Order: sequence, then C-alpha cells, then structure tokens
Amino acid sequence: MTGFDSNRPLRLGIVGCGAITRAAHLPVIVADPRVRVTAFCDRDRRNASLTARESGVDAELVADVGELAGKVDAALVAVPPRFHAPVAIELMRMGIDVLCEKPIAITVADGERMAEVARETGRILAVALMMRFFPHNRWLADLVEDGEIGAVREVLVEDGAPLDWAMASNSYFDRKATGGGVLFDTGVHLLDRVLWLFGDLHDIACEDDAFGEGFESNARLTGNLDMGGRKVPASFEFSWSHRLRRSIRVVGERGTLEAATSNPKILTLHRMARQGPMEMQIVCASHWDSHSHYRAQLDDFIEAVGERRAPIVTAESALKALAVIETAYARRRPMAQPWLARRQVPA
Amino acid sequence: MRTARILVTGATGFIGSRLCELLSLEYRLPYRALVRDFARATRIARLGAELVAGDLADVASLAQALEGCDAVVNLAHGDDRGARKQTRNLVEACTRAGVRRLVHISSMAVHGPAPAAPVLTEANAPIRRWREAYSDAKAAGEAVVVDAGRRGALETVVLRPTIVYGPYSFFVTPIVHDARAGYISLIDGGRGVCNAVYVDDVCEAILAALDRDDAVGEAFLVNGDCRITWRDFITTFAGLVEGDKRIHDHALDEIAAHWKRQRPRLRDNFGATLRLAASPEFHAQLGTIPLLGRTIRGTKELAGRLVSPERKLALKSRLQRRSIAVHRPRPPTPLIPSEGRVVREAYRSWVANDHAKARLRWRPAHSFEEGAKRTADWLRFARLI
Repeated sequence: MTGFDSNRPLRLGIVGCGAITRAAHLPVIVADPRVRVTAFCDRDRRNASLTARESGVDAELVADVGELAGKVDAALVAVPPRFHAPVAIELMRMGIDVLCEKPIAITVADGERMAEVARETGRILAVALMMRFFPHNRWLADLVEDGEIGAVREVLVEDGAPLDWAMASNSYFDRKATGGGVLFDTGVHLLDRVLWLFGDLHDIACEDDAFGEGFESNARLTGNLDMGGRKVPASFEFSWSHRLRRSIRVVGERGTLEAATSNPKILTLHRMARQGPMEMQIVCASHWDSHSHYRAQLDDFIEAVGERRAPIVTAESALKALAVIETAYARRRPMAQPWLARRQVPA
Repeated sequence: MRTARILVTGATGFIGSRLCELLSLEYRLPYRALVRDFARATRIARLGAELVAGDLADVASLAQALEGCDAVVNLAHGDDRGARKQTRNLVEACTRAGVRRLVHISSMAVHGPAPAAPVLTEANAPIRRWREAYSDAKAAGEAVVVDAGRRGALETVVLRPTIVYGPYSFFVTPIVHDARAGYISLIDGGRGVCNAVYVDDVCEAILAALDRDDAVGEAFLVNGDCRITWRDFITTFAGLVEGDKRIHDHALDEIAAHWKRQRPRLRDNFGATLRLAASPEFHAQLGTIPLLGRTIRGTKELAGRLVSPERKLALKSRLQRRSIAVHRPRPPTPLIPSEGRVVREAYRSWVANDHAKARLRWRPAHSFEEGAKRTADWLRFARLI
C-alpha cells in the first residue's frame, strides 16, 4: 500500500488466531483507532471464529491467505514458525505489509528469503521481538558505554520458568510446525536484545537436555561478545522446566547492571559500597504494563507502514539471533543429567 | 509378552514422564504418549517420541491413539469424579483396538488411609469405599480394570505404588522450599511410616508387568525396601539445603485446634472451610485420630449446609486444581499442614512388597539413600539446592 491514506484506518488481517494473537496482540490492536481488523485467517475455522468472538471484532473469517487480497493493507503473521516464510512471502507478493511473529523463520535461509522479498516488493517486514521496546534497553547500553560499571567482564543472561502457556495446538512440539525448543522459542528474545545492544557473538558453544529429534527444555549457550573491540565472555541459560533469574546482567569492574524481564521500566545497578552491597534502581519509564511493549511495537509498525520507513526490528536485524541459534544447534552437546541413567538390581 | 507398541496415558505426569524417559533412553521400546495438555509436555518432548493429543474422556481420541498398540500403561488420573467413566472408556477402547495387555497404575490409597494391619499386604487389606474422593476414585478405576480382566476382555495387571519420590516429585519439592525458607515441618514428630519407593523402581515394576505373563490378573503393592519414617524422609531432603533450619513439629492437637478456629468465622475462612470439605484424600484417616475426626466432620457438615451442590462442584474443581508442584512459591512462615499431608504422614502401616518380588521377579534397585542422592542431582540441576 504505497498510497496509504493516513486519514483512514489501516486495514489489518490477522493470520493465525492462536494463543499469542488472542492474549498479546489483539488487546492492543482492538484499542487502536488507527487500525481496523478486517479479516481473521486461520486454517482452523473454529480458532478464527473464537478469536473474532472474544475480541468483539466484526471481521471476515477466511481459511486461506490468498483470500486476503484487496481486503487488507497489512497483516499480523502469527502462525507456527515453520510457516512464517511461506505465509509472509505470499502476503508481501500480494502487496501486503507484514508484522511477523518471532522467530522470523526456522532457518536463516528462509529468513533471508523473506528479507529479499520485502526489498523486492517494497513491503514493510517487521519482526515481533517485542522486548526490543523495553524502556531499560537503551539505558543499559548507554550506561555500559559511558563506563558506569567500568570495563565489562562478562554478560550473564538467564530466562527460565515452567512453560505455562495456554497452547491452542501442539505446534510447540511438532517438527512440522517449529524449529526448536526453549532456545529457539524463548532464547531468541534475549539473544536478540544482547546482539542488538552489544554486537556480535563469536566462539559459540551450546549444550541442551534434548535427545534425538526432541525439543530441548533446557539450554546453555556460551560465546564471546565483541564489545568495543574487546572479547567479553557471555553465557545464556534458558529453561522451560524451572525458574531462572530472567534478566540480562552486565558485570563490570565497578558493578553490575541488570535488566530484569519482569520489570522493563527499571534498570538495577548493583555495586559494592562502603556500607556493603548496594542496589540502585534507575527508572527508565514512568509507566509500563504487560501490554506496553506490544503497544509500542504496534505504534512502530503503523508508523513504518504510513511513512514507508524501516521498522525498529527489521528482518535483517532479527536474523542475527536466528543465525546464533542455528550455529548453537549445529554444535549442541548433551547436558549432564546424571539422574537419567537406569540402575538395575545386580544379578 | 513382547510388545509391538505401548500407549502411555498420563504421560506428562511425574511417573509418566519418567517412564517415557526410560522407554526412550534405556528400555528402547516403541511407544506413544497420550497428551491432554501440551504445556505440560516439555519434559517428554525432549525425547523425540511420538506425542498424540487425547484425553480419556474423549473416546474418539483414544481409538486413534491406540492404533497399532498392543499394550497400554494407564497412568492417567483426571478428576476423581470421572475416574470410573474414564477408565471404562479406556478399557472399551483397548478391547475394540485389540490391545492385549493393560497395566493399570492404581494406588495404595485403595486400601484406605489407615489400614488396621501393621504390615499391609494384598491379602490382608480390603478394598472398600472410604467416602473419600481420591481413594474411592482409585478403587473405582481399579475395579473397572479388574472386571475387564476377569471377563477375559484383555490381560490386566494392577500396580499399587506407595509414596513415589524422585526428580519432580511433589513430595520432595515442598520440603526443599520450606528448608530454603529456614524451617523443617513435621507432623506428630514425623513418626508416621513413610512407604517411600523411588520412581525408577515403579517404572521397573511397570516394565515387569508388561513383560511377565504370570503377572496377569494380579494386583501388586509396589514399595521400596527401606523402612523409614517421615522424619527420615523430610530431614534427608531438608538437609540438602545449606543453612540453619528450625524444626516446626505440628502436634495433632495443634492442627485440630487450628481447624476448629477456622469453623465459626465463616466470612474470613470460607475458602479454607470449603477447601477442607473438598479435599481429595482426607476424611477417613482423620476419623482414626479422634480429636481431628470430630473437627473435620463438623466442618464438612457446616460447609455442606452452606453451599448448593452445583456451587460445591464448581468449587471442588477449582480448589483441587493440580499445578506443577516444583515451582509454587512458599510463604516464609510454616503453615498448618494440608489435610492431604496429615493423612499421608499420620500413616502407621508398613506396606509389603513380597508379592511383587515373587511374581514380577522385581526388586527395588534403590535404597532410600540412593534414591535421595539421585533426586539431589536433579534438585541441583533445577537450582533448588
């Protein structure tokens, strides 16, 4: 829609009416007067009608992406990851701008093809890595760069909680639908932010708890970040089975800066003071709720579509995390789980 | 028998997940895992095994899941009220699908919360209805299976495990959470008998029940070999947590007094009162402890009078909702133990495993010390200790 008229609402199609669409995207979309949902698309018609009913939006229900031609200006793609590339490409070729769920695709090659089609067709392709919009991100990068904690020694990233997600289907554990387990699904958010804020990761090594074609529920990834020309060791731990710290910690000579996922408007500075350990909370935004990053993401997408400018999360930038994940999977080694071996009664 | 393919129901549960791990990694037998809620399937999804969506309440899903299976391990326990119907669905689906053997995992709870014999055996402990939801549901499910076996519809083996512990056990993690908060909680000095069996040993019994033809038609109590008390069990796992801990010993009269206080203050304690009345594994045991018995009966009647049957059902399903035990944050001060815990830890009988040893040719491979050590390995992995 190069001739997008800013006076009329953007006609939005929702492609994939699963849990993430209903819980995260639609509440902010429905509340925004600049967009109007004109179609719900899902291969399972029950999902589409349930989503329409729940959101109170009166829009056309379609089963095939092809039916969206001429009916929408832009689309949210929230189908299982394996279908991101074919669906987004089909939409862009139909002249439709795309906000695509993360991870951008299941392989770097697929993601590159998407980026290429976006360039060819002049479409906007944004990736829904909504943690990029956390207010504390910029503060973290700036304070590190300003030397607030001195020379950086290491970066520690952890995100773990029991998977507790009202899944609308079994696509999480189906190789026909997705590309990996916790590293692919949860890890991509944290990896993306670290790479975006601090540069590329080298010397990647990875261990996880999966077997054969299984999906890992625990993964540990290590590497070196290239920060201001210096190698800084980084470690990333992700779990679907137990609680981990859920933050990015940058450990420096004079303190640690921590950005906790649970509180995106705060950055915490840990430092040893004369009195003992000190914690200083840096307020990076006055208000932030669980929908705020989805709202910011939608704002950016609407503006990018209207102004024909690049979105904050471009396909090219989102591909960096996927490339790390692909390398990590290729190098994965088994994680120690000593309680797993069978112990038999001696004969 | 040599199995072609096994269907595991209840595969995302504590025993089911461990059985799937052993089937995939050690026994190397072909199987399919029936999954009702995929959000709980992270542990078995690691294995790359076949996961199939289904539910014991959904007959069509069972028919599909059973295709090509000649054996079933039934570890599912949905809600107490539906147990009989759901087990019947499974048995009928198995019969239609030509399944040869069904290994049904029941529970020692079918013998009630407080058997009279000091040593409980399959022969000396009756199965009755105890007017207690969990025990009765387990007994009803077992009866459906035994009946099908007697009719010759299929080969059945019933296993009745005792207190099953190991990685992910909801008997272990609350102890560790308490210890991290600085205390150890015991009931009546922890002198109750803890019939602890390590989860892998239960899985080995399941494997034997699938394998051994002379097990058909039998029911087996599956217990470990170590005679320990709840004090031993609790202090062992609490001891894995560093730092000082205070022991809170909840005397039975303290528990009774607490529940008594709950009674009159309807507004404030309505939830607690209802929870008491809705508790799944409860009342009969408390009848054997005179002081508590009176309090509980009174509370149950009181709640019964105040709430309509429909509302009671709604509340029951809400209050009994099972959640992943590992991760529930615990408040910093010791609570009065739950009804279920009191029942468990006031138990006085040792459960024999001789029949299983003789007929299944099975023996627990883990002493309590060894089982606890392997559980500790997992607790470290899960960052709980």
